[in-house]
Amino acid sequence: MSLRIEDLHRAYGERAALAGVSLAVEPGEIVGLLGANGAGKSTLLRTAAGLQPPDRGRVRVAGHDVWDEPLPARAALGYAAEEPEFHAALSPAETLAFVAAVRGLEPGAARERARELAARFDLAARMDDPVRGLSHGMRKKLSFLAAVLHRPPVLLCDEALEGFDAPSALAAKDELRSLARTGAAVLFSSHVTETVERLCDRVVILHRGRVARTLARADWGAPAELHSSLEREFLAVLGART
Amino acid sequence: MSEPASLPDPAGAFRALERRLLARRLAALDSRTRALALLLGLCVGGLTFWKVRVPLDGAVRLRGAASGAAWLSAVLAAFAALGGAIAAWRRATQRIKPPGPEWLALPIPPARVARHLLSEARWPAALVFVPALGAIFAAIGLLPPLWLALLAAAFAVLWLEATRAGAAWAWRAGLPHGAAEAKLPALTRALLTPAQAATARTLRAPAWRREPAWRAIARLDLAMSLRRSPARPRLAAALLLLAASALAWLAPAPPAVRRALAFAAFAPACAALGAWAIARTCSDPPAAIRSLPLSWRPLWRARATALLVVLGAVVLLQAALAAALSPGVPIAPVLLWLPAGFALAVLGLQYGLALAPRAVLAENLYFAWLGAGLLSSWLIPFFGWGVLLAALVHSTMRLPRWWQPEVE
Repeated sequence: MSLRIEDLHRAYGERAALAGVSLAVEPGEIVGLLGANGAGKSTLLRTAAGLQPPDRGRVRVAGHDVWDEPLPARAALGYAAEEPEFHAALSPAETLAFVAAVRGLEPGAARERARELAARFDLAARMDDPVRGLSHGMRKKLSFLAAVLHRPPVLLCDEALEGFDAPSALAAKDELRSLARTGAAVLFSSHVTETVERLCDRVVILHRGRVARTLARADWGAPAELHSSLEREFLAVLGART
Repeated sequence: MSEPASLPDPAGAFRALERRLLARRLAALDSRTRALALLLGLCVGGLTFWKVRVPLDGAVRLRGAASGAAWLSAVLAAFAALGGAIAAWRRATQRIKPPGPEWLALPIPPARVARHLLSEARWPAALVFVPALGAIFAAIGLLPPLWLALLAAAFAVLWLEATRAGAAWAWRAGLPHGAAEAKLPALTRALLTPAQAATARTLRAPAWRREPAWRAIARLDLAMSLRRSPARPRLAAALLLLAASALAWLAPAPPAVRRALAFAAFAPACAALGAWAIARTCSDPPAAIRSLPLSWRPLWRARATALLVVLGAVVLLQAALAAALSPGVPIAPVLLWLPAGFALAVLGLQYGLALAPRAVLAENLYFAWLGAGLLSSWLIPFFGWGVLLAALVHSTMRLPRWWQPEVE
């Protein structure tokens, strides 16, 4: 189960957002996607998630083409959006129950998984409040929870951790590592190089819609610790687990 | 940093904004939709010409030009009133999410923003100029040119006033009434986003079920239609009209009049249900829905089933009332309202699916078809159903476009 992106092109009018991007994420691998604003990261992830069609090229999720076999591809996919959108009148619990029903998850197990995730991401107290009353950070957490609820074999995270508080960022990194250990392929875009540096096994740098460089973990001498010392200090003040 | 001596006049900026918005809207229509809109406009204008020309000619010949002018004035006034109703509807939908940036964060007088929002509410109401021009052209050669020019100018003024009044009424009806908001001027209150005025309320914990996707979507629709969302006012309007339609059978009138009254409320109820289906379909957040393993089929099935259940129950009730209260009225035509009403409502659903998430475009196209159908039936009895059938075929052909989304 992996993610394969082949020769992806996408233009907005005259401007090419993606100009022949090819990359693969193998099972158990977390690949970071770095790039300046407008480099094409979000376009790449939205196109890979089937939210917008490419002009040319293919995306295969767990062996299924996102456009030719959309249902099995989306069944294997989790997508955490950069700007999450929800039904504002629903609660997070209702949102996750709907996602679980549409994905055909076993109800008891899905409820337990949602409860456990909500507790880890400090969202448990707001699970029955309308989404329209949640802050941007909480919506980002909900988007992440909806993406990982079914433990997807392929996960796309579009700046998913931006806006998270420190304990939740820690929980998210743990969750991503845990998913990767069970064989998930994770493509993770971020502006924060330090997060990518500590979390990812490989990094793809996008520049003007092209893959400018691919680096393995050994290439940048990644720190052994998942969390920085400042993060640990902050978590200690909050009384959170380090 | 020092404050500027005076703020620049934003009129030029608003003019440029409105020009660009208009250009974007035109660019958003593909060539087939543009051709279809042009064809519909020609049909509506041409049919109005035909429908006005004959009685106007008769009125001028029998009672003179003044009588003909009065008759034409009434027709134009009706079109202006229709424009006012469209502007009110558009303004009411703007209340859910006022278009544009956080206006109150900008150094612009609220009155100027209000003018901009009025123009935004007005532009769909400009559709009534098509039949109005058809009516004015129909009077060429029957009324003196000067009178026609005066009538055309009067129509333009009346349209401006009717749309202004309609939008203002819809705007005032939706002002937030909280204690904090009550201290603010009305224009400022109108620019508050609903989210700022919302009160948080804890919801009941959901039941986690294993069920087909279409049933999960139907459950989602029910929740969204009962809570504050674009779907709720449309559903409320539909249910009120359906209730009025059933109550019409109790009216102290001959059976045939009762049936006509019942249908007169039933048809707009079906149109409101179609608008509900558009609101539900187009307000599904693309990133949340389209990353799920869903096709358009369960989305269609969930909403079509809900429409069929509601309309089926109402039509059966109507048939029972007709049988009990109006023994002379045959039941079969009443039962035929079910497929007709279902077709009316499903048309909205299909345009909603084909054009999601562009709710305004879907609603405009839907009501344009319904308007063309209504006008066609007015000109040639039952011809409107043929127009509706054409619209259904067109919308069905567009359904696979659901797979080609553009996240906005």
